Amino acid sequence: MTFHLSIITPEKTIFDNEVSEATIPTIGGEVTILPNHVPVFTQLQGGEIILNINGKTEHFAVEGGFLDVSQKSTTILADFAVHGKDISVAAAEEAKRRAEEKLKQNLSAEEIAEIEGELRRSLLQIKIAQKYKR
Amino acid sequence: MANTQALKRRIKTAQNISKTTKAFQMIAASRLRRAQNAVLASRPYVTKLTEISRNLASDVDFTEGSNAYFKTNKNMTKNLYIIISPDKGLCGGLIANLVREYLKINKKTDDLFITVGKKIEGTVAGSTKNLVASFPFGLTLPSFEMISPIKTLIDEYYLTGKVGAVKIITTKFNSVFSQKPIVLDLLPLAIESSEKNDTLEESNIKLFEPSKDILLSEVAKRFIEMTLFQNLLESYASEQAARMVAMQNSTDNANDMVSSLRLLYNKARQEKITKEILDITSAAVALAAE
Repeated sequence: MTFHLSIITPEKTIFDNEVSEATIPTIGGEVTILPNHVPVFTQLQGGEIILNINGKTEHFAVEGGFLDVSQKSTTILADFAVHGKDISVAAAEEAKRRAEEKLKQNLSAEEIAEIEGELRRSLLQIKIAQKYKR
Repeated sequence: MANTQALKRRIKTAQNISKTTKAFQMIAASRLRRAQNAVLASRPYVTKLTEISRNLASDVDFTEGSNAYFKTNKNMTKNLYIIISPDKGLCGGLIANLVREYLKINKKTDDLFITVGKKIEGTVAGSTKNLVASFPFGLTLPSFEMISPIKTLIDEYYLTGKVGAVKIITTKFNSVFSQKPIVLDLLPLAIESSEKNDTLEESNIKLFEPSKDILLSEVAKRFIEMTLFQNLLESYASEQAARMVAMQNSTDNANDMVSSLRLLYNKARQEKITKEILDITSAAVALAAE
């Protein structure tokens, strides 16, 4: 049994295919969606999406957005999402280093919030990319 | 002699102009393609977001609660305008049209303005004291990060009730040959809730976590950001299309000039040769007569 799932970000459609199982971080905690799940609409949290496609697992880093499960299809509207194998560890490490450096300077609360978001994203990416390395 | 020399120089100049404008045209063409791709790529997100907003908005009470974006401040007549223009010129009538649109709406004295792009900044700064902020547009494809400071300002003015409505003035991309300045309403948000995309049965059993109210205000935030972002992309596409056409015209004009100058040059050259032959033959005739 499979169901149709798509991951869409403002920039592009990241994933659009049949999956048999999807684990998604929502603000109410991590949920696993199986075929014929009850229709639900909820908000996402930063974390990792794990998809099961015919026994193979794929990982995505995601940050904020919505999850919409309907009878026809499941859609993840993410503010930011990237496929595990597309993550460049070097770029993420570099972003992390830059963010940490910036945090040491004197900044306004807004700037700090923005940089912390960046830092969170890069840490997440590094974590997920390491799964692919193994 | 001096005449042909001057003509030669002018031909060279016209050729150089044609080369430069041709290059501009080609750059604009490739940027236009990228802009169009970006608009297309962001479309699924917008479609889905609109669909979700409609489903959510169908039975939420807008008169109270946190959904301030949907509320209309009826006793507040002030508007906040966000004007989007390019940073650079050389794009035909696009900026002039935008300025005209701006002058048309600038009737009330207490309206507020936020400008994006250097080309409109000067006009607005010169004609009103109510310029809240101005952002550069940048020369490349607008990124999503540009939205957040603009959004913060909109929140500051709209949610505190300083303005009654927020509108966007931008250039709509109709086609490569037609871009029109338009005024769009951004806030208060108007999402028609009539259409039901889900079946009735489904919308009855659908779960909303944590609650429709909270979710709707989150969706509304994205909706505003996406509207802004799409308009930035559209403005960018318009700019590149307008520049491409303008540069194509100037290339054609420069080439026309080259050919008419070349005609003049050839005529002058021939005239000179004829004169020289005339000189030689008349001299020969004079010598033979002696």
